[in-house]
Amino acid sequence: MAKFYSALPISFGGVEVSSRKHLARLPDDFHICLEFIGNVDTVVTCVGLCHGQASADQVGVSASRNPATGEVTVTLDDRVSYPLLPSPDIDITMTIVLKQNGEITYTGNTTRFPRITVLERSDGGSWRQVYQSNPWARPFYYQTPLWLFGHTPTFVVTHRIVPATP
Amino acid sequence: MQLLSLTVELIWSLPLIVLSVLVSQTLFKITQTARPTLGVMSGTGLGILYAVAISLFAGPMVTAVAIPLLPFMATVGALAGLLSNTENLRQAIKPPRVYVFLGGALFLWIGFFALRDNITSSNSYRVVVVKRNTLSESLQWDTSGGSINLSEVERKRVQEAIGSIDGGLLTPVLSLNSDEHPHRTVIIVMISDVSKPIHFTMPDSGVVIFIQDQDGTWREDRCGAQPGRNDLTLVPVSGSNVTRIQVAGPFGTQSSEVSISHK
Repeated sequence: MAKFYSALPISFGGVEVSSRKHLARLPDDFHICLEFIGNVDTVVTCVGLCHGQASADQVGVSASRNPATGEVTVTLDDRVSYPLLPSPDIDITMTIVLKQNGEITYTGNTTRFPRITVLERSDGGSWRQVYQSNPWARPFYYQTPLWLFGHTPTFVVTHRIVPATP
Repeated sequence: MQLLSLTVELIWSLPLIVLSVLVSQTLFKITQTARPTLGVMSGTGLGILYAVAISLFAGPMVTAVAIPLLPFMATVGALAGLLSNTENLRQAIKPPRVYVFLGGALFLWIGFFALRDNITSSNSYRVVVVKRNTLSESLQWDTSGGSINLSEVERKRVQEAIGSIDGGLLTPVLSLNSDEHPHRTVIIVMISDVSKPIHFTMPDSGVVIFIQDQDGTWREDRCGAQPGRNDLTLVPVSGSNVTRIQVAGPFGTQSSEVSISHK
């Protein structure tokens, strides 16, 4: 049911402040890769996940699909490795809804991670970036204290994974 | 999990407690009398500065704490400044001063959450990409259904912005929301994927429509919406007929990809 893929290249994006440099040793990029095999109009036979984090083996991942509604729920559990930092790890909850007309909706929220990318592909095609959140990419460093007023980022992405049947 | 986050937060506050106590005791030595208000105010100020310093170091990770860092540190600093001296504490718990302190703490916390909600709301957005297939002679919306909803007003505005001379079948192909109730909407009508980066400015509020013409040029219909601070960029993804939609704001960037030229 679930396929795990090899890690994608890790990069640390655009943080030039020297005091933060040691943070570069922390895992800084996380990829969730979902592969859909089969015609979405009829049935999805496979949901795959991949991750680009060095120590992501400890992450609890679960995926389930309701055959009646076509709703797939993917949950990645929280984890703590660095006690003196406020858990700079994965905290992502995502619900994926597949519809019979080929539409797919991702709803979720992410925290505690520099960058998260959700990728998908269908029937062995090329990977497509569904969503990427990069909270470290900021135009001005002096705006950083705005994060004191930051919320858990929520995202809702809807698109068609296959063309609708005419 | 929450308990661990709270423990980490308390460990982080230890330097602030020490600093706040030292400052309060120094003030007591200088003035030779108990000054509870001065202790509370200096502790609050130190707490705010301390939270800002942590945010400059930790960036977005400050959102991972159990209790919001700014009011937490301000409160811890104020309490440390107050409790550093028994005479300070004795005077502070007497009415009406105790009510002033409690009122100030309430104002700090309520004000923080109100400001946070305001900042979050003003930065929320919805981006909808509409594919325009120009093979259709008349301008009409794809009625095959789907959950990418545009209101009737928005659909009418899109049609008016495109103009009655040009035809095309309009199909919403992507919706990217940053919040359940976004404060502003950007509708991008595309005929083909872009070949070079295109930059737009997001509105402060309301709805803005960006339209790609057949020759690849862009025009916009703001309909009174004022330009905001966040940027919207369309970036071609090399080696593929894919366009990346990227929104940059004070809380970083979010992006998604869409393929318009794909049949």
